[in-house]
Amino acid sequence: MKEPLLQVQDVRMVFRNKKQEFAAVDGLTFQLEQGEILGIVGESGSGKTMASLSIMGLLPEQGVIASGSIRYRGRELVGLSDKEMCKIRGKEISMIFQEPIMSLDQVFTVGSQLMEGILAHEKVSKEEAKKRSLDMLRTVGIPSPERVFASYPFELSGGMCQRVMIAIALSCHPRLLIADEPTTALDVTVQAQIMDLLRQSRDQFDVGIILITHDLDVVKDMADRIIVMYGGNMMEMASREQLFSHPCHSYTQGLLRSIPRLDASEERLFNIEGTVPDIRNMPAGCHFCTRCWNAQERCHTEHPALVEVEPGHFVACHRAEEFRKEGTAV
Amino acid sequence: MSETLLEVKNLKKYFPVKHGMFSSGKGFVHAVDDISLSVEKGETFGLVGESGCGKSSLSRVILGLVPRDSGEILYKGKDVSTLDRAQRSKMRMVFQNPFASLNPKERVFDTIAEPYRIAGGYSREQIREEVLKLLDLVGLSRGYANRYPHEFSGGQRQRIGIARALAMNPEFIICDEPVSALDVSIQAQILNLLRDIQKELGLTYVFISHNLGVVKYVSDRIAVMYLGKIIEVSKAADLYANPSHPYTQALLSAIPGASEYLHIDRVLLKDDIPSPVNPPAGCRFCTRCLYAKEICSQEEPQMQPVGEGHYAACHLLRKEAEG
Repeated sequence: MKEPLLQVQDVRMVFRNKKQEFAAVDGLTFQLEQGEILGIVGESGSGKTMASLSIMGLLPEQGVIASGSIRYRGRELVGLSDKEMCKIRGKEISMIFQEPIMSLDQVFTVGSQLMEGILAHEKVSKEEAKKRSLDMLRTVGIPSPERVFASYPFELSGGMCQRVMIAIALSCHPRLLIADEPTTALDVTVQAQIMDLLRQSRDQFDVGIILITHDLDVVKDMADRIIVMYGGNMMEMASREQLFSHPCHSYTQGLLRSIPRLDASEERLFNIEGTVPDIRNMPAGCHFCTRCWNAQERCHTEHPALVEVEPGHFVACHRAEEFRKEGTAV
Repeated sequence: MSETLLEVKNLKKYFPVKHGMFSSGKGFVHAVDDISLSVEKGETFGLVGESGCGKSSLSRVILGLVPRDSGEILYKGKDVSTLDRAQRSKMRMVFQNPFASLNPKERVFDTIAEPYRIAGGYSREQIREEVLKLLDLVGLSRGYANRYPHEFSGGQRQRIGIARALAMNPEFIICDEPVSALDVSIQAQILNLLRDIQKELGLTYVFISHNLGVVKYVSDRIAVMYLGKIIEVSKAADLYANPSHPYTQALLSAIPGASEYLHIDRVLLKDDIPSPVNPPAGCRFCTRCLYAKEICSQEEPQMQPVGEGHYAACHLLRKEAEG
């Protein structure tokens, strides 16, 4: 069988100090194929960003991958030295961050930041790197590449900076692109432009994309498959059709019903009571049990495993089978 | 017959900007440029637009947090600058960022009690009773009164902000992006809370948001803003079913998945929103409009009716009506 582009197996990522450790991500398991867009959705504190940083090897201090494996085209990434990781990062796997203006260096021109990546990873002359940078700026739809090439990030708008970020990320033709909330700081019309651009780059360069967001509408529009995370755990993983036509986890169902929809005029939004618990204080059983309106006794004591309820549809809920049969479509 | 609570006529607010240390040229940000609107008693008036379109400035000018340059703001038929303190305390605001809008050094109790203390005439017990009642109303436990803001989550802080706005029995509240800093599940809680309180106390809201789904859920009528101007006003359902201005169409179609729900073609706008310092002549939207004609860059379009209670400012609509 063909090796998947990325295979993440049972990754547990913890914050630890001398005395204690807390899991920010636990039991993360998924595969990504070339050219596929995988959406990871979750609220703040769900561990979606830490999941992406684990793959990139960019975890903050005190954050370590305690167990599990992350294989990129068959190669284990967990435990690679910084030097080894640097060769992969930017070249094979790149990342786009949330705040486009903050994540570019303000004191270097866009051009020098673009060329830096190319020069670091490939043996090309400066002229060649510049030519490729300009091409890349053109590819991401920047109207006057020469001007932007010589500009500093603060001279550009948020949408423009995000295009530059995408150009940098794609400049070495990576196979895997991780986009962490790429449009959260941007307006809807600009968001639509950026999403189109991501879709285009997938079609053009056949990259696999992990799209991390809190916006269910965005993943519904973009992703082939979706993971719903809560409190560091995967709650549900399914294809887009499966997830939106018959979500099986109470959390997913609640989330979908709590968003004001454009095609219906509901009298009242569904309330998920309470707030996301702190990672230092996660409930013993299912992490969602404290807010779940369907919780039973064993939900509070026993951690549910991720089970496949139908081909390609995984759910971590003790009552998944029940909910699937009921067919609680949202 | 419904009663007009707030009326704004030809309101303008320009903010001066300096162009550089040595240049003598000065420009103005056209934040609020000749805006007229009216809000009926008991309704929720939604205001949508992208960042920089002036929706927050408009709300601040209406409440007098920023002085206006020209125009009229009438509250119950009287100019707001002539209202006394008791009347002014009927107009309140809920702010966007619940992490920045509460005083971190003040206990929740004092934050909510402050309006009563300023107004005077309340005994300690009365204030205490009022504050606890407000906490009940916004769904916070009474025991939270003696805590500080940092002990609360975003959603809880926003509830505190709402309780503060509800002190002194207001009639009119401007909610400036009250849920944009919150997670989806918390957002639903706050939206429901705002709705319940409105029913219970008969409040009038101006609800500002950039999230078109949220605005549709809460609003009775919606105004769309672009670069300091209102370009379309309509009943909520009508706006989504039948957007008339090309910008409104583009805005709605930019919502992920909108083409499925709304049966409109996806319009991808080019470029960014122009600077409000030198807004384009004629129709503000002409530089990005797909249908722009010559007249659009020369003459400023006026609001015209396109349906019952539905107005839009676009030259092309008039052409259609005539031809």
